[in-house]
Amino acid sequence: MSFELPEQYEEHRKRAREFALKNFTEELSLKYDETEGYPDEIRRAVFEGGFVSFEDPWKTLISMEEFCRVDPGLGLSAIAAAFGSELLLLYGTEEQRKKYLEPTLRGERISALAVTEPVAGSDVAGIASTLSKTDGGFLLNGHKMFITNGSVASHYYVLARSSPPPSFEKRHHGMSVVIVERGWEGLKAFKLKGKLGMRATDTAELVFENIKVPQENLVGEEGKGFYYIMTFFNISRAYVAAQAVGIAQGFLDVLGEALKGKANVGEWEQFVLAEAATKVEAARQLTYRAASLIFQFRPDPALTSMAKYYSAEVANEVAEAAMLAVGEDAIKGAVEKLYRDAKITEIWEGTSEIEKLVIYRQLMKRLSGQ
Amino acid sequence: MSEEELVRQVVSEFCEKEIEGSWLKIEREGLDRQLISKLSQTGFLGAIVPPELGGAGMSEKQYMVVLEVLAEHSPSVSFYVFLQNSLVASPLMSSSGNEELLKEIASGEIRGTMIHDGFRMAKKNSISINGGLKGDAKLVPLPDAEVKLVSLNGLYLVRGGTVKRTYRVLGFKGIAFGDIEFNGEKAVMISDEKAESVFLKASGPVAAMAIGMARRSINMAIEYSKQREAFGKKLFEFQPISFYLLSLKEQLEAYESYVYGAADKLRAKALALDLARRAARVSLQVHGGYGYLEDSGVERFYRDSMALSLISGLRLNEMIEASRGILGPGSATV
Ligand SMILES: Cc1cc2nc3c(=O)[nH]c(=O)nc-3n(C[C@H](O)[C@H](O)[C@H](O)COP(=O)(O)OP(=O)(O)OC[C@H]3O[C@@H](n4cnc5c(N)ncnc54)[C@H](O)[C@@H]3O)c2cc1C
Repeated sequence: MSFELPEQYEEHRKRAREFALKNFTEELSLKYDETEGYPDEIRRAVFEGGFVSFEDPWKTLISMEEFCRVDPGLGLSAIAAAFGSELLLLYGTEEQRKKYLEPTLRGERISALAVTEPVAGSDVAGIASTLSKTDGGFLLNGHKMFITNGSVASHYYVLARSSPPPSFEKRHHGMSVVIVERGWEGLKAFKLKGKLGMRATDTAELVFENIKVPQENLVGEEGKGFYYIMTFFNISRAYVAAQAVGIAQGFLDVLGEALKGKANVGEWEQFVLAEAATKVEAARQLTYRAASLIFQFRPDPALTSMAKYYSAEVANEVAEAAMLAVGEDAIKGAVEKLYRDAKITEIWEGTSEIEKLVIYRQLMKRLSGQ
Repeated sequence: MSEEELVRQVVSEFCEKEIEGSWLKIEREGLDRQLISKLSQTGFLGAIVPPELGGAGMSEKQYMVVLEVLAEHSPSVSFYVFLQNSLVASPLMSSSGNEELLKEIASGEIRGTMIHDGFRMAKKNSISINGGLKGDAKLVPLPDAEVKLVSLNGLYLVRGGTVKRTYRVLGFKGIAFGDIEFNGEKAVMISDEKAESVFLKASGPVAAMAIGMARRSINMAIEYSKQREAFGKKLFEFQPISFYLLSLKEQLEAYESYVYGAADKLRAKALALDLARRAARVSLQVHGGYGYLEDSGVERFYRDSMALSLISGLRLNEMIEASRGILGPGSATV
């Protein structure tokens, strides 16, 4: 039994790191952080370079880690250009894959996943957008919030309610996922500015007003949307864990550099580095194990949530330790930016609180033999 | 009502009127002349400056209350007042002959800043005095301030210097930071005090700012937890959310009296800063995605609490100092 990644992935890691160091220059990084623009040229280069692969998801995961180690904003906005597209891989029709998935993976389209609403984020089943039946399809109405790629996407995977819930407890019934195109009538996107971090990623509020969605744009079966989204999160959370591991490693690099340049490193700082390095390694192993199960099509949602929650916590702890060790120089430039970028990992795709609830439920299910 | 309570009430009223509705504008555009003049009229700008020089002649505790309440409403404004009082007026007051300058500082006619050798200075081109001040300084708050106190082998008073560029840093977005080049500007030594000791004396005021930030972070989270619903419940109905907030609130109360009461303000400062950072992180978390956006007024405390921690002294050095105070001179050497 080996706990090492096969040689080909270590090679990929080297390529990803070189790519990030070469392309995520300080100048670009600060520019996008300041302007909150969308780095389309980086996205193209990432897709042309083969750093995002649905056939070999380890490559995407490692790219995510290495990119976020250098610049989470730029790295993520590029990789997330295919955000949500696993839904089509799992549940899409042949036509949907041809029309939306394949061009997205070739870097010709950008996708977005629209779940969160002003009224509900963690509580996915509490969303209020509706899909009502019309001739040949549905009418979509509603309001989405904090949608990554919201104002740059060419299409959206939208979760909405297609039939009323049987009861409060069964609110997750009666929801469906549909694909909506950017140019369709009734869709408005408003870019949200002024984010704490990840400012190179595009985030928007979406308003749907009587959008006509043809039947062929329904993903999978009607009424199963909630389960599809949860299954998707059980995959995507491994990538968020990898983001967090990358950010934590980035701070470990910062800490290492700061101590390397010091004439006299006292034991306290030696411990700070040792503890941070230990946590980062533990987070990485947990993330890889969760990912390896997902990539073998036998996901363990408890483990995935553990990886996401723990890695995000480690990223933020190591960030704080590194900032305080570096001192005043950390107030400006790449280090302060990394600090601002770290926090989101505890919020998106399931807050740390939600991850802990998932872990508990999964473990209890196992204990009761389900 | 004690003197401190009275001050608290006055500052709170001032903040409600002058800052609460415009904190975001201050973050984006900085403090305008009008606000600076109001800060002077209320006596906050010259809080510690004696009344005969146009200041308010406040006690340290009263001054700390001013900073604390200002920090609840706008850490940027609080930092500005701190800069003028603790880092500029205070060292000027400990040497004689600066009366006119102190008057101008208290009135807001002149702004001051401090440049800290080895800490604020560019490491490679450290400045030196050679018939005038020569060299570059980096990360200077208010780089266009008319008066600079430069810490070298003592404190020097310098007017001018060329601002090479200005930028925003992690925190206190209402205040520009920048790089300055000195090219032979006259530097007059005003005392043999070093920046380290100025900062050490400012421990109480820094702690007070941290307490203000922590309080606002916690209060915002409590308020939000009573409004926001998830899963058909208010957030504060969930035990983990309630317990995070409970624990922060308990610490706030304990630290607050420690900060105002402790003889050793250095340790109080470290604790208060830790609390401010933790409170901001939890508050942001409780606010979910909303807390992540600038308009929410939550994320600034996350940035500002860390920025204040970085600006106000190196943690390791302070821990060593504090250990020696408690365990004796030989402690924490290895
Ligand atoms: C930059 C950014 C990008 C995003 N991108 C996307 C995207 O592409 N697509 C998308 O659909 N969404 C996206 N989101 C939304 C994100 O997933 C949500 O913000 C997140 O799920 C939390 O939801 P919320 O903000 O509504 O917070 P809430 O659900 O209101 O939660 C507030 C707080 O309450 C806690 N809480 C909630 N329920 C419980 C409970 N039962 N027990 C204990 N604590 C609880 C939460 O953990 C949190 O701390 C993005 C958000 C941001 C900030």
